[in-house]
This record gives sequence, C-alpha cells and structure tokens, in this order.
Amino acid sequence: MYELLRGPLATASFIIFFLGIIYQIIRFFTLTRKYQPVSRINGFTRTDKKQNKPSPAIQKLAKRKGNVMGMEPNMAVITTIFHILVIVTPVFLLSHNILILESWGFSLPSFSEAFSDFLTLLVLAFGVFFLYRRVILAKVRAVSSLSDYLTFLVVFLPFITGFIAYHQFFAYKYMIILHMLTGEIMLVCLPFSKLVHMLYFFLNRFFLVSEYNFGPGGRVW
Amino acid sequence: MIKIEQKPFQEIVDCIQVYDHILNVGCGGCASVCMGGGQKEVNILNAELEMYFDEKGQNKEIGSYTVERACNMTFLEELDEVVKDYDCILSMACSAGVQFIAERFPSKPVFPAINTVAIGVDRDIGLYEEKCRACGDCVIGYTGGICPVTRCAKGLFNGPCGGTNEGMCEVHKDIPCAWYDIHERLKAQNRLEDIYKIREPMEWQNQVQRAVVHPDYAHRYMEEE
Amino acid sequence: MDNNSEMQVDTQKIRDLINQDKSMIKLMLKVCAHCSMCAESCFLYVHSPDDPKYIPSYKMLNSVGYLYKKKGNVTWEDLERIKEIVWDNCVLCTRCYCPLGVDIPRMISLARKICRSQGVYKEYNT
Repeated sequence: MYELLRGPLATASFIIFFLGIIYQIIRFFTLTRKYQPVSRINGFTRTDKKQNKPSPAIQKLAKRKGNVMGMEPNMAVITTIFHILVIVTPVFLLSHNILILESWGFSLPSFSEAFSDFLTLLVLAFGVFFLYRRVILAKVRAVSSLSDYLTFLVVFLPFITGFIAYHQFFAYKYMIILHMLTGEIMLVCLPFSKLVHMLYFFLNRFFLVSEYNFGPGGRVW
Repeated sequence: MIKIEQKPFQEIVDCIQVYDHILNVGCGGCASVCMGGGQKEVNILNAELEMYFDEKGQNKEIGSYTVERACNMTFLEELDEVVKDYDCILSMACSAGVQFIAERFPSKPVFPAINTVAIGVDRDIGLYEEKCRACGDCVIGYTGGICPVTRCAKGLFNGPCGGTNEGMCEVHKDIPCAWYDIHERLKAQNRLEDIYKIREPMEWQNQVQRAVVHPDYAHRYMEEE
Repeated sequence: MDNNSEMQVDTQKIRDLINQDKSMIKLMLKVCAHCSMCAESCFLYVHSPDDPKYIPSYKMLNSVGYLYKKKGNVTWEDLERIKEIVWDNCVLCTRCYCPLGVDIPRMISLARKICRSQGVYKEYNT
C-alpha cells in the first residue's frame, strides 16, 4: 500500500493535478474574449469644475470602509493568510522536499521543521475558524451543503494526518498512509471541484473587467 | 439610466456642517449602477466626512441607510423610523429621489450629495455617456437613432452647422459632430431622405414640470372629457 | 396568470437558454466557494442581516443554480419562486462583491431572461 501511494499513485495524482489546472486555464481563455476598452470619450467631462476631495490620507482610509476590509475585516485577513499558508506549508516542508529529491532529483528550499509545525498549527486553527463560520453563522449556513463539508475534510485531512504522522503520536504507519492518500485525493479533486477557485481567483480578478478587479482587466465572458 | 456625479467635497461639507446628526441615504437604483450613490459610496463618504470633522474637532454622528429606489414612496417608508434620530438628511440618490425624500420629510433639511448629470448609457465600466435630454418629442427615428438634441451642441434639426470640421464639432475637437454621424448612419441604411425634409425646430417641452399619465390609468387622475 | 396553469413550462426553451452559456454557468456555479463574503455588499442584506434570502450567492444558487441542476425541468411553482428571488429580492444594482470574481449580476439577469421566456416576470401594477 505504501509503495503504491508513494510511487505510481503519487506521480499519477500530480499529473492529473497539473493537467487539470492546464485544462481549466485553457477553458478560461476560450470562454472569455479580449475586450477593447473605448478609445474615445464621447462628450464633455466636467474637468473645469473642481472636483475637490478631502485629503488623500482620509480618502485612503475611507475607501477601506466601502470594500471588504470595512465589511468583514476578520474574514478578509484570515482567508488571505490561510490561502497563502495552505500552499506555502506543504511546498516548503522538509519531509516533502526530501521525497521529491529522492524521486525526481531536485528539491525546493525548506523551512525548519519547527516553523513548519507552527505553520501547520496555524492552518488547522484557521480551519477551525472556517468550520465555525460554516456551522454557526446563519449567512454561511444558508448557502452550505454536503459538498462544502466534504471539501473541508479533503483540504484539512492531509494537514491533520500529516501533523499526527510527523509527531508520531500514534499509529504512524497508518497515519502516513492516510496522509498520502488524503493528499493525493486533494490533488486530484482540486481542478474539478470548488477548490478550483484557487486558480479562478487569479484568473477572474486579474483578467476580467469588473469593479472589483486588480489591474485594468482585458477580458469579458 | 440616470447618471450622477458626486458633488465637490467642500460643497457637501458646507451644507451639513451646522448639523450634528446627519443621515446619509443611498439609492440602490440608478445611483448604484453608475457607482455614484450606492451603499458603498455612502459608506465611503461617511468615513470621509467623519474623519474630516474629527480633524476639525467637531463631533458628528453620520448614519447611513440605502433604500431600494428613492423614486418610489413605498421604498421610502422604511426611512420613517430611521429619520427620527437625525437633524438633517444628506442623500446620494438622484435629484428626483432627493426631492421625494424632501417631500416625505418636509420638516427635515435635505441636501443632495450628488449632481444629476444625464440620462445616459454605460459605455464601459466607469464611463457613462449622456444620450437623452428628455425633450419629450423624440426624433431619433428620423435621424438614424442619434439624438440631435443631446449630441448636437446647437440642437440643430436640419443638418450640421458651418463649424463641422472633419466629422468633429467646432465646440471641442474630441466631440464628434452629431450630424456627420447621422448622415453616415443613414447613408449606410439608404435612408438619407429622412433628413432631406426640413423639420421644425424642437418645441422644448421641459419648461414646466411634466407628468406622465399612463393611458390605462387616466381615469384615476383625470376628469372624463 | 391563468393561462400558465393550462400551458406547460417550455423546458426545452429553458435548456436552450442555459446551453447558450452552459460552460460559463457550470464554471461559475463550481467556482462559487459558498463563502458568503458577498453578503455585506448587498444593501438589502445589510438591512435584514438575519434573512439569507438576500445573500447574492444564495440568490444565484437558488435561481440559475436550480435551473441548471434541474436541467430546465421546472414547474410553474419553481418559476414563481425564482421570480421572487430575482425580482423581489434583487434590484440588479450590480454592486455584488465576489472575492473569486463570479459575475453574480450576470447570473441573476440570466435567470430573469429565462423567466421572461416563459412569460413569468414582475408586474408593477399588482
């Protein structure tokens, strides 16, 4: 079982993951089209009228009130940090990099094990926050379904099992198998479930024309 | 839809500075769509005003409420309770909505935070173009779908003036000449005869307040003739 | 609305309308992470925070999402319910915020288009 998960299944899940990601990127670019912004303003803009504003400092702080930082600051900060960590933690983990070095001959830099431990605990703490949000807050419960809870498990089981396996709290052999299995399930599920928002966050918010996009945006559906 | 633009900040401050409890009313209709007076703009303006007055050492309470549409009295009913705690109302709805608010609360001073600019279209995100002056006698059927009242600086009805310059208006080099565009459009449709007839100039119908009565409801509001 | 009870819902027409944008609809329904961060950007929700029916993602999932899942096989009751969601609970002010860039107003207006294709729409004189 271990050999199967460590060897061919691991390679297969990575391949499916990358192919899935590429497929979704291609899908985005085929479903959207380039958008030419208007080259000319037809009409008078009232530039003569002094559109005076308060000081830039005030404007900057006030703008925050209108956007998501003003509305739900906790969630905005936590979710940003969480999403960065959920990628950074496994990618720069010493154990993973040793395995990659053994299998494929290269490795990425790694954090110290203590730091990775700390990051894992942070991820798990944020997981508890998300679960609380999904179960307790009425507005999130209203749009939640079984698939959301399953996705939650798919994402957090690798972290939980990895943490337990690393510390060898109990049943190491089964934990490590479970860790690899759940990790591979997550990789395979990612491009084909709601976890694809990992990709579409960037695609949608950087490329589409919208009030909320980062940058000019040059595509529309 | 109606397109609006926020007033200069100082002008808004001058209106409300004598009041301590101000309610900022936004509108979820036209004002929201052109990003001039929706919930987000209300929040931002409130934050700016609060910080501005804090710097000046004045303590003001500025509340916020966004109604679905300020141009319909039923949607203003929910303001009745809210307004009691405030001395004055600042509104980011279009001027029609602001007038309705003022009518509903005649004892409260009501100030517009925006200028109503035009009946216009969404050309692109953040770019809105005036298309209609609400003259009351639409002639665009004869001018290839281009309004000479709105787009011609002189409101001409029978062709361009002598100042048309390579398709551009003499008023500003970046403004296309409406009559040039009308001619080109009708030529492409083979309908140039429409503008060869001389038309009477527009009899502006916007000198007195107008009301529109839907024929199905005429019996409710007008006496039988 | 009397004629509606005698006529069948034209489910094929609904399917055709969905199929015009099928990939985009499917993708957006999948990308929606059900996070409800769109809630506070809707001023209707802000006025009644205990009522989930105004949450933009809820509106989208229960209108277009429902039509898509059912592959257009809906009843008149379903359409009336969807009509309430997309006309009474939404003014299409187009200011919904989505951290994942889902175009919620587009989906709501698509639901309205589908309802209109079946003769179901908000009437302002009732």
